[in-house]
Amino acid sequence: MLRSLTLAAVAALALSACDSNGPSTEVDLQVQVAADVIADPADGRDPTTGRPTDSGRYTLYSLADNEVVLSYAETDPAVRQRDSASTRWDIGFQGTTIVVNGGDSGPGAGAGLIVEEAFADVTTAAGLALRVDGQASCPSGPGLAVCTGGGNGWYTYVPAQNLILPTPGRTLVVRTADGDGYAKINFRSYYQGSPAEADITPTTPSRYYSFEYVLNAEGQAFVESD
Amino acid sequence: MRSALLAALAVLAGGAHAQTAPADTLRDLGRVVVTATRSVEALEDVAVPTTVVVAEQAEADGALRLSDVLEAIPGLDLTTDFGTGVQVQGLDPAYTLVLIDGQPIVGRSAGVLDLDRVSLAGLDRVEVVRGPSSSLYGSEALAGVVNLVTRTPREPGGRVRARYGTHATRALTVEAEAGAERGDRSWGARFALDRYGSDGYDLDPATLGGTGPATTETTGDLRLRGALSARTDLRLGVRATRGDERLLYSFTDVNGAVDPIDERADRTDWSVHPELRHRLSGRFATRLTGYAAGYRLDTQVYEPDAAGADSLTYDDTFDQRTLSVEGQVDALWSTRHRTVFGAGTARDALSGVRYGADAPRSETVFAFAQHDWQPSRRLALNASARLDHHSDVGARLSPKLAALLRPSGAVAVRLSVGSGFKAPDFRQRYLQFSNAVGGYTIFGAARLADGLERLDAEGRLDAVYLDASALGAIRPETSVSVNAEVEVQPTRGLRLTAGAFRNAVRDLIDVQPVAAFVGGGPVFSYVNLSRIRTEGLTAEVSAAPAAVPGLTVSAGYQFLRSRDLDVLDDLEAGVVFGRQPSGRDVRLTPGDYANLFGRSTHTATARVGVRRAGWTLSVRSRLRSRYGLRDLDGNGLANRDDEFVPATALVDATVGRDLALRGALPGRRLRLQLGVDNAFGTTRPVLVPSLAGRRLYASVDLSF
Repeated sequence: MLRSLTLAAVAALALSACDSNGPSTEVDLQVQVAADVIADPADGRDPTTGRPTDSGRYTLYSLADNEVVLSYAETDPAVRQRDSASTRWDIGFQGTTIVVNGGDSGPGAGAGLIVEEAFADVTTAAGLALRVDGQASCPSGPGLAVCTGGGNGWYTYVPAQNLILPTPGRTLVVRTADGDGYAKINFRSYYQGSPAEADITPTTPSRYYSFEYVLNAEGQAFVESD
Repeated sequence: MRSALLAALAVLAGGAHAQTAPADTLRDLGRVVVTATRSVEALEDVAVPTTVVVAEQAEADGALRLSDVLEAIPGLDLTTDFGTGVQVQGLDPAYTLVLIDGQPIVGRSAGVLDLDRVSLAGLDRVEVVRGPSSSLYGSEALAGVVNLVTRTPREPGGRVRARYGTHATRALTVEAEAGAERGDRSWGARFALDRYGSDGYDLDPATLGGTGPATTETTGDLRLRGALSARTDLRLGVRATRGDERLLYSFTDVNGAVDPIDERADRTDWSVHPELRHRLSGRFATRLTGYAAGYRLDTQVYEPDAAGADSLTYDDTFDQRTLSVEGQVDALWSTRHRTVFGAGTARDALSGVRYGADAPRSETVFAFAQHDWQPSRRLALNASARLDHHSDVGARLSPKLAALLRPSGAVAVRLSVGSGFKAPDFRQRYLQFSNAVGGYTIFGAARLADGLERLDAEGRLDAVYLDASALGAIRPETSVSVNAEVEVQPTRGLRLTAGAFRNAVRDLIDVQPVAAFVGGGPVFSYVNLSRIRTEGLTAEVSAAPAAVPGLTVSAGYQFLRSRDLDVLDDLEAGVVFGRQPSGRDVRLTPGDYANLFGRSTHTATARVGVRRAGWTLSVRSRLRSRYGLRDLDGNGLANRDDEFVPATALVDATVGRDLALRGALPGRRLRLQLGVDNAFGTTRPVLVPSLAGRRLYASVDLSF
């Protein structure tokens, strides 16, 4: 379900983002890629309203392990309770909603902020006023660290083609659940297989997150210091 | 300059009779128009940018529908969502009022009045006024006014026109006219029956179904006129159109199954337009106009059910009616001063599947005044204002000031500043609709509070985003616009025009999520949201060189900038990025944002016409630079190459031959015409499916 890729392009990005010939540090600031993280895809349509139906369950993700901790597909309440009430996950997805492990969303020390800057140019989390789920203010919807609704958070909704597209130049900076690390995240696609935008059709399965990120498990910098 | 009021004086002095006299008596005073000032005026004396296309030219160019005439006018671009609309000065079709003999055609879909619906049967001319005209016409005349003026019936005659072409496009028009004149009394009547049809087209034969729908449209148009005395003139216009449209196409569902879809639309629109004109004296003329019109659209979609049988999956009705009465007084105080006063009321009603059981209604009461003043031979001023009181959105005052300067006989400068408005339409106020495919619900502003209350009572609402006090408050969209134009006629037969315009529109109404259902899914409503600005430069040349009799050459160009001011602010703040196909995000600057979607920076038209020895030749070209079609990188604007429709040049041509029938009744004439639209067969099946390929046609036109 989850693949970690190291693409040439990503390697190039990583090289541009950090000086590989510089003094070695103990933290790995490579760009990591998560592809097709499934976040509660529609399982049908409500026969009366026509709205897509789904389970409402979140998929919870660990940035350190670059893998799903708890899938939306897990239905056992005991398992869901155990995993979601842990600090094993940093960020969670359900449809277009993103939660960060902290505040109302989880027991962790997580927090997040959408920074209006290109991914490559976000060099540090220092000085950012990260927001905590349930304690933030949003133009609409719940007061999450990442506001819901097109144009408010990580994505743009294009009504003409009914598309969810990641907003370019919006980088999500999060504090990890353990409170020690920071990551910057760049969303690449909401559709299965990350097709080119022009190739997305009404039948392309959605709610498949692909993103790239840099995790500093022990600090705020996303580039290695000289 | 003095000719304007003299012309008006001539008309008033002659009363109703003069107004219905053959156009030749006024021709020496120049082309006469009625739209810009709601009164008869010579085109050259109108102080706002006005274009006229006469029936003779429309016929020479093979035009059948109103859209065919407008596409050839510089600065007007046709749009193709929800039918064929017209963009004036970069503003959406919703902001241009479309009239027949001064009264509005009703029946818009998503703000667009489909100009393909409008037959040219009985046409005398089409007048287009660019710039806000709400000071005379009220709501919707924010970008401009298009007025299809019918020919006044006068004398016995008849005409039969038939045409056949590619896609089995066929048109048949039969016209019969009668009339007589005896002393002060005269009458005229004309009936035109027009039938138009096409089998549609398919730009992608590999997939099931077609691209353009099969259509038929039948229009009956009756114009009656009677001069009861030298002072009193009675007119009646009746028009009805019945149209249907059918498109078979395929839709691939979520399971990958290809479903054939059969979409059918039936339209009826009609109007009745009586008018009484009475001249009180040489200085005062009055006019009382009634107008009733209706538009009904039935849309049905059939899809195969589980058993493979056709089942009705969508059934919608939209039924709109309007009724208005208005009076107007033209007062010619002197050769320097003229005032036009008017007042009236209009009632609109709508019923439809998407509009709830309590059919929405609205009423507008209005009054307007306009004063022309010619302080000198070189200057004419025109001030106008209209007050509209709309039952749903309250009062709105729309002023306008225009000036015409003539520094010399060969130069005219037109300056105008005015305000336009568009009241929120029924859809924006009263729609209530749940989309089964899209999974959302949408409420018009006036339905929102009740709708949310009901959803909440049913326990289906998760969150409401808007402040309750803001619910349902929706204001008209308003604009302030400036137009300037310089026209020079250096020699007889040559005219050069250069112009500039700017429209600042605020409170644009758009759909926004206002609440969320339990378990997701948005509730949308209409909200005053954005501010846009469109500005541009225009240039036109027209020449009829005396050295080459019968030759006319004209060309027009428009440079356009049209931008959302909030987007511009964001660009200036440096928070808008583009995502390159490689995935790299690049910060955009205001220079990366040329236009709103669907607008070209450069548009141009050119026409060469020759009329000589019974032959008529006309070649037209339209060019538009690339325009933004879609957002693919999530920033809400067109910036990346693959978000644009590439530059397009289209060429149309017609050649006609007039034959006087030997041994026939005097005046009998046969005209044969061959034509081609889109001569180079340009198509863009994916980006612009409405662009059909090359279309050839032949027509026969017999008049007697």
